[in-house]
Amino acid sequence: MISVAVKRKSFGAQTVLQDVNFDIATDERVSIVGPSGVGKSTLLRLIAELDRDYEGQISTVKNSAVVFQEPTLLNWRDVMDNLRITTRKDDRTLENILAEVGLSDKSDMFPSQLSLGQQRRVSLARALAVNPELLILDEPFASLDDEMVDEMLALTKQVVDTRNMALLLVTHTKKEAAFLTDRQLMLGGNPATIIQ
Amino acid sequence: MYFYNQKVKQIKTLSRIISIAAFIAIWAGLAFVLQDRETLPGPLAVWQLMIGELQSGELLFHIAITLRRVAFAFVIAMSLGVVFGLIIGRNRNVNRWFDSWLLIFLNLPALVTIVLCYLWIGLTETAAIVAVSLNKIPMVTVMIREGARALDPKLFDMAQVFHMNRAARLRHVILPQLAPQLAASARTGLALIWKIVLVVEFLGRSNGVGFQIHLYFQLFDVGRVMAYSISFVLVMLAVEYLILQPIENRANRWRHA
Repeated sequence: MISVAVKRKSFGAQTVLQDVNFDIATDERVSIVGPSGVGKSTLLRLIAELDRDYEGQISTVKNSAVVFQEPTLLNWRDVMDNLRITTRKDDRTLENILAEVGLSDKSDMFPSQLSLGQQRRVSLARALAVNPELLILDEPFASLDDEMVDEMLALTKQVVDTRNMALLLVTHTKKEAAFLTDRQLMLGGNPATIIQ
Repeated sequence: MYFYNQKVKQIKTLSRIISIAAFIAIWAGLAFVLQDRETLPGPLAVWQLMIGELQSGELLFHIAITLRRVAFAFVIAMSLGVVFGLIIGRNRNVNRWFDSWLLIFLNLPALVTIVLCYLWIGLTETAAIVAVSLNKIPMVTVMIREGARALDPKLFDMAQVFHMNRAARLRHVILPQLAPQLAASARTGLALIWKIVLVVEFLGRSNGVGFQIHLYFQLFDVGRVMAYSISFVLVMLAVEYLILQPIENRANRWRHA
């Protein structure tokens, strides 16, 4: 069970989030939907424990993984090394996961040799490799064309369906939220809070 | 594409050879015009002196001594410079405190550091290496500091999410991003260090290329001064082409993939 109770998150004098409260059950799929700049990524950083400077309390699982808005790969390492270095899993496990995201034949390529969609798949594979209890996706389909978004949505749904884990999707697109998650939370207002 | 790249590579190599040949030709021409072996011996005369010194064993002995000093000073300066640069670059408060120190050390003439080290520590090997290292550390620190300021914060987030330990972060996240600064400081560092090592040897050691240059300077033997200088330049070029460039090429493999 993940429990989020953020009383206030501010940057200097500006309060960005206020009274944001919700829970996510084990293997529940929840999305946070809201317009760009509302504070979705700020909230995600709090849940991912990347930022601990806030008032309130978040209790989360020990083993979570994030698919960032940008692929955030080590550009100087090939695909396999990217997975190996960050997840510390054995090659067999990693090869299976690469196969799952359709990148078996790209393991020895550098990220710069891959398309943005393929880089996103590597990023997804990396997150899946640690077998997380909570998978956090931060606008994972941004900057992709419509066809690629559909493809990535289908792939993400497929890999999540075959695993027993909670999912938290942060997006500004209701379509993505509806496709991937069971419950959608609307983040809005200034400072932002859950409005629906 | 492959053949085009090969052609470009051949043209570059050829231009380099022609350029060096032109330099030697101009030198030979000047020596011929002057007709004074005491003032400017020609390339052939210097070459013969180099071979003579090589056969006597003197050249190799003194080059080895100098190379050892260069290596020690290089490793110390690069290691401390990287550490200081990272600390100062990643922490604004530390930078505020030490920025002016860096400026002072950057502008301190090498000669002052060398003389002071000899005066304080004595005419010893330690003093020589410390003096050379002190001259180079501020330069490495400044270059690494600039790189450290530009490190990608998103990669730090990624490293944190995936619980990468400190050593892994340094090796796989930080140092690869600093590769251009590391390469630049290594290259300029080596060029600067060996020149300072020669001055250090000139002033206070009883062996090494710098000492030999000092010896032949006192004897007004221009030919041997040139023979030792050119020999060491050749050694440093070999280090550049056979060690530094291959390492840099390997580190930058992904950029050209």
